[in-house]
Amino acid sequence: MAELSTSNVGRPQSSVGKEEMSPTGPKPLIVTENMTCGYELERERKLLTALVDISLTVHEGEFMVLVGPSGCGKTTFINVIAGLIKPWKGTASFNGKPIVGTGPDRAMVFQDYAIMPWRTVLQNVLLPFELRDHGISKKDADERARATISDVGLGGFEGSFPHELSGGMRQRVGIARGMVTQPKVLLADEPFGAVDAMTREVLQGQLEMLVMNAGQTVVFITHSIDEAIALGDRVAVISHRPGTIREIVDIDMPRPRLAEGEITGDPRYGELREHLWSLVKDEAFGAKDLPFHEDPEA
Amino acid sequence: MTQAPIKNTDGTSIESQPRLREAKWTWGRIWTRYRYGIITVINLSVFFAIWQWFASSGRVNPLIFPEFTDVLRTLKIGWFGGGNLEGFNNRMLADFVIVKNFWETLKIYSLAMVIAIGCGIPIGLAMGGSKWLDAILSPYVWTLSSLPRIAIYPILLLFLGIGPQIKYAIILSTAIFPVIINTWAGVKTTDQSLINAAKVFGANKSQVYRKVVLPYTLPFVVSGVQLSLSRGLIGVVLAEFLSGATTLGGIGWLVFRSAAAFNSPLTYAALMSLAVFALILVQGTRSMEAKIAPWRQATTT
Ligand SMILES: Nc1ncnc2c1ncn2[C@@H]1O[C@H](COP(=O)(O)OP(=O)(O)O)[C@@H](O)[C@H]1O
Ligand SMILES: [Mg+2]
Repeated sequence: MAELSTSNVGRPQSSVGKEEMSPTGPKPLIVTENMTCGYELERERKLLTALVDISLTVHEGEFMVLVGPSGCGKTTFINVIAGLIKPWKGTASFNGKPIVGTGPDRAMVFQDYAIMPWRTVLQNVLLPFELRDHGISKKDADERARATISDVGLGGFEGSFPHELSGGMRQRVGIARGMVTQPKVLLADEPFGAVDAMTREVLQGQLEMLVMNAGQTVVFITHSIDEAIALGDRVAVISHRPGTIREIVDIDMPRPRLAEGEITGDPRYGELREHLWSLVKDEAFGAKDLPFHEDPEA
Repeated sequence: MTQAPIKNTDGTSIESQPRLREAKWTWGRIWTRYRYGIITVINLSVFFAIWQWFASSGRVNPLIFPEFTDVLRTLKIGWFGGGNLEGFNNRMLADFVIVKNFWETLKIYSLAMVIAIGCGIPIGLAMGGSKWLDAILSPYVWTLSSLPRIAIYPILLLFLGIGPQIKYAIILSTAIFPVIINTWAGVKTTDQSLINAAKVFGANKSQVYRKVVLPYTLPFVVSGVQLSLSRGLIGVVLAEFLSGATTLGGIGWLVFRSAAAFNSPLTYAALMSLAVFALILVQGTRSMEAKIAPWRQATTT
């Protein structure tokens, strides 16, 4: 399992896109400007601000990692980009257009897997093709779904139901479903959180290959600083709720970082790790409690 | 993926060798295999033997507590006919009296249940799916479902008079609410992250409903139906108790009237028939949920 079979099949190669050639550098794909958003708590009749003033740009082919204490709004951010929730203030746009809903070019891997318990592994992975026309035949979709399932290490489990699988295996079903359509952007919410350490390394390696070979754009949430450094081009550290961007750290280390084995020996790795850790630690333990905002404008 | 047949180390198929040697039948083996059946048979035999001994000991009035053998005889006559009724407490007892009343009950019960389930599911779905309908209907649904149903009998009687309509009305009023409420609860509690996943991958409103909400709700509907089947059974017996029928009032009517006529063997025989029917019904629907929604079973354990 060296490389995802989905990696170079009919995928637009971002590196040859004409925007890339322009003097302004890589094309911005996801742009949020002063975005503030949150939730309406119906029972408490209150508005909860989850994210404040987020201005972040993710370029085409970029691997953006978000880290931050739990509850800081990482999932909320990814939900806005997916088109599931709308910002209260500010803008969020994708490919130059404001995000008004979900789209075939943005797929998501969910933190809590969100796979249908009444569908087999294969049926779950085929769901995106059932719901949208991705321009491939039924037979091709089936083939691709099977290939993706075997890429995530679930070959032989196509006919199993989620309740027959372990937590890590269920998460891999969610990963396969997110990748099967070869979306322009993969939004991954702690995708390897429940996966065992060995499978995680394999999947991280595959994801890195996908990024290197196909220029996959990824927005990736993780709790692990090591994972952030191993995978990210940039790491955005989000403060505790209401989340703001504390700092964006460039991971200026050459790829492949995982296929070559150890990057942990590199002195730069140690520096980055220390720096990120100090930022995250501040946020995790320095959390002041500002739970509710009566008025989002306030 | 097809799996290669398992081979022995020497390459021969495992199938070609005798599998497990046929075990010898010993008492121990028979016991481990059939113990629950054996225990049940012994249990019931002891129960009926004590019944028989107690009833024939002269300690209780046979008008209240009949001998078990009399009940058996009554069951035979009531179900299969051919009774020699002479010298037997034969008030109300006639050939086939139980089976005829049983069919009467079954007829009304099954039609009423079809109506209850057929209306309850769409009402529950609609209430779960629309905030407006929910707001409009829920006060009535919750009030009626909490009210002891027998309390509305006098009103129903005024409206419908004595007759089959009132039976249907009572059964419906007892059986429809579990279906409505469970279906509603299924729709309401549908996992938001499953809905989000469907949306991300392109589901429109109707697809979210068909591909997430309905499958998620199905096991709730099944338990609602289960509950409603047993509630409906209470309803039908209650309705028959209260109905003014003079003949062929159903199995509940038979229990009620035979007791009033001090024909205790018939009362017990009718009751036992009802018990067996209820048992079959409940046991039959118990395995339904496991078959329809195996994932729910697995997540609750
Ligand atoms: N659907 C929701 N309704 C109300 N509050 C929510 C909802 N989802 C998340 N929140 C709240 O918003 C904040 C940010 O949540 P989330 O984005 O899930 O954080 P993270 O993914 O960083 O752990 C949390 O305080 C959480 O309680
Ligand atoms: Mg989260």
